[in-house]
Amino acid sequence: MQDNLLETSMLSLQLLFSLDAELWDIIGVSFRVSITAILIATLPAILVGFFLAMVDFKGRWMVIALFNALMAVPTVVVGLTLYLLLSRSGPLGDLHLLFTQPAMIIGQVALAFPLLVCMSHSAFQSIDKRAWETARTLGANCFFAVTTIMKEARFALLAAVLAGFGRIISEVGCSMMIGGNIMSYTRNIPTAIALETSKGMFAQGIALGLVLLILALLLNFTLASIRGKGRLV
Amino acid sequence: MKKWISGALTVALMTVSAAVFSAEEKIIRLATTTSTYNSGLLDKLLPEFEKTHNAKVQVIAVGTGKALRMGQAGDVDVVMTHAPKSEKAFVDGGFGVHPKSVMYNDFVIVGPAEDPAQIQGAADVTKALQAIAATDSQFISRGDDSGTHKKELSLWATTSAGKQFSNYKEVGQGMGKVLQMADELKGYTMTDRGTWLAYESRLQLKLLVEGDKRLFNPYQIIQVNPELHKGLNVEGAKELSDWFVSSKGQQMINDFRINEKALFHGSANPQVVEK
Amino acid sequence: MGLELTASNIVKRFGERELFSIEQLQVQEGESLHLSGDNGVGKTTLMKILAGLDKPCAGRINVTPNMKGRWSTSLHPKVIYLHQTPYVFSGSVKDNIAYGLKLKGISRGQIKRTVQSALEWARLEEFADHAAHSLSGGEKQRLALARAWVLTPGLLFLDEPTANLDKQSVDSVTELVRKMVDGGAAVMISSHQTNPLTEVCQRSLLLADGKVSESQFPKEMLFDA
Repeated sequence: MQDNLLETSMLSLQLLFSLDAELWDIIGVSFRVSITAILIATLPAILVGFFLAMVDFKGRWMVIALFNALMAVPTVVVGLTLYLLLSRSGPLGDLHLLFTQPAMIIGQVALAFPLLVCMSHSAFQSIDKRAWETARTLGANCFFAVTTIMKEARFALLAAVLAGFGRIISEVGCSMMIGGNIMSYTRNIPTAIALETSKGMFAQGIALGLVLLILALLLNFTLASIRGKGRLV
Repeated sequence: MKKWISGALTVALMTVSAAVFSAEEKIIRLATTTSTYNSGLLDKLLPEFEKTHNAKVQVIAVGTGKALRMGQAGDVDVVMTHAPKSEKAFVDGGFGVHPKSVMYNDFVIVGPAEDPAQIQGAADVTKALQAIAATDSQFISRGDDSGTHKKELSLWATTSAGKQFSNYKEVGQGMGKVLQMADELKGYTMTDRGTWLAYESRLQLKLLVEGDKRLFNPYQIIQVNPELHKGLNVEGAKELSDWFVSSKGQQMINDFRINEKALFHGSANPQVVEK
Repeated sequence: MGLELTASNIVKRFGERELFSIEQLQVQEGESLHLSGDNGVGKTTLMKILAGLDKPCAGRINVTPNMKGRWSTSLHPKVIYLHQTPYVFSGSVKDNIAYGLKLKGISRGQIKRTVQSALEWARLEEFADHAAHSLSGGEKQRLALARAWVLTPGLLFLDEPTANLDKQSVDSVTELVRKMVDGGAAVMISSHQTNPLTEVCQRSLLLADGKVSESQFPKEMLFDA
């Protein structure tokens, strides 16, 4: 039993490098869905984060607390909520979205959104109020001032986007529930890992886990290097 | 403050562990299939066993593949599964000892009331599956290497065209979930009768094909080979498997009902050996 | 046509506390004002309100001629407020100077020329491609002035521009402000004490006890350039 982990890891590497079609299919679904979701979620979430950071209104703290709370909601709960909405007997059942990629994308947008809002909110909070005032007094209308602030906060915002992406590409509960883990269609890396593990096929599970690990490393190295360069300019 | 918390935690832990050990209960770890567990059979049987044997059975409900794998790794004391070929390999490989036939139930094919493949009442499961493939109807497969999945694959193997049609969907989930998905997608699926009876009332699916002998589903209980792993509860595993085939255990299996329908049939005598 | 700013009945409160209440305040093109008052009386808030960056609780600010487009959310393009400690955008000194120009949709070549003359004007040529963040306090203040200068402001609010600067920097900032005034811009400089820069000013206003009062003193004699 001692050499089991090593043996499994070796086998998993073999699978990865042998370009196992099924494996790459799964990886493809994962990336297609999660990248689409993050692209959809990012801009609105950043604008909400900006709004919460810059505009003082009654009940703002409650909205912020709400988004913070939403971040902590387990993914399966988000999945269950969407399941009930999208189910044939649910209010949106006529759209026939359940167990499709669009459903997974909706789920992942819902998961990434609060995280993006909270992180971009704190990113904007860390930006000096003078930045906004300087942009405005130098002739920027509200729209350009927002883009200026976004540019000033770009590293923190990028970190938010990467964190959001990290959350959705690795989440299993929501994808399993509303995607359905259909082979070659809605089976992504996390649901496949869950499945392979339940089958006792640990090598495939580890191989897919490695993909996620490598991805996480890549994202974080990228971020760190951009940040490093950013200090100099 | 911190000291206070850790102190309280220590006391709590000690109390809990003391309670656990003082009862001198023997813990038996049983890996079994989701279909058995979801039916509620074990909830009915195990308390009786635990009472008379002063033991605690921890049930780990997974697919057959993983259950056997857990047995192979020595993570459990005993397994109860329903995939004869895999079980034979498990025993032949020396990972399990004393396989005992416990009971059987059967599989059924369910599908939407519209029944686009027109298989309702078919006596021949091969023909039914062929009709599903020919009409390219939705078919939701477990796709999780479970006993049910293996059974389904063996049945597809009896058809001429096989399962190569576009609406054949492998979803890699448990039986209950697969039934829900079939319901949502208006598809066919093959399920064990136990799970079907447990879910029937919540679904719009209809039972369409049953009774073909090839839909027969035998369960075996197998002790994990104590020579391969240390720390197994060998005695408990033996007691549990003996109890399942005892007249009391068999009686309770036969008496188990869902919606007033019998689900499992004790098969300890005569021995069912499918090799 | 000269730029004229009129503020009437401006009131600012923070919760229950009234910071100030100002009946009438007028600034005309070519004027230079020194706004004095102790720390915390609201000099910064008042200047931000006049510059359109903050909203008064009551009252009106009117700038003529109004050069805003009807649907524009921009502030008045000829009124510029400069912070006590300037905020510099990420990017180079050049990028910072070009910021306001880029928003106006001017051609690249024109921007490049204007930025170059601004660099010369503020004596920042040697830092042109440096990261703006790396400048010293005095250099940042000059950068802020150059950044405003390229927009040919009619009215400039300078909030304690020399507060944290050494003598030499104060002199160079003073020189730049003087050049702006010579160019016809009105400036309002807040400062809680007099210094070489405030001596540029012709008019002197005092903000105290929530009111603004004009304090006459013969600065015209000194300012005769």
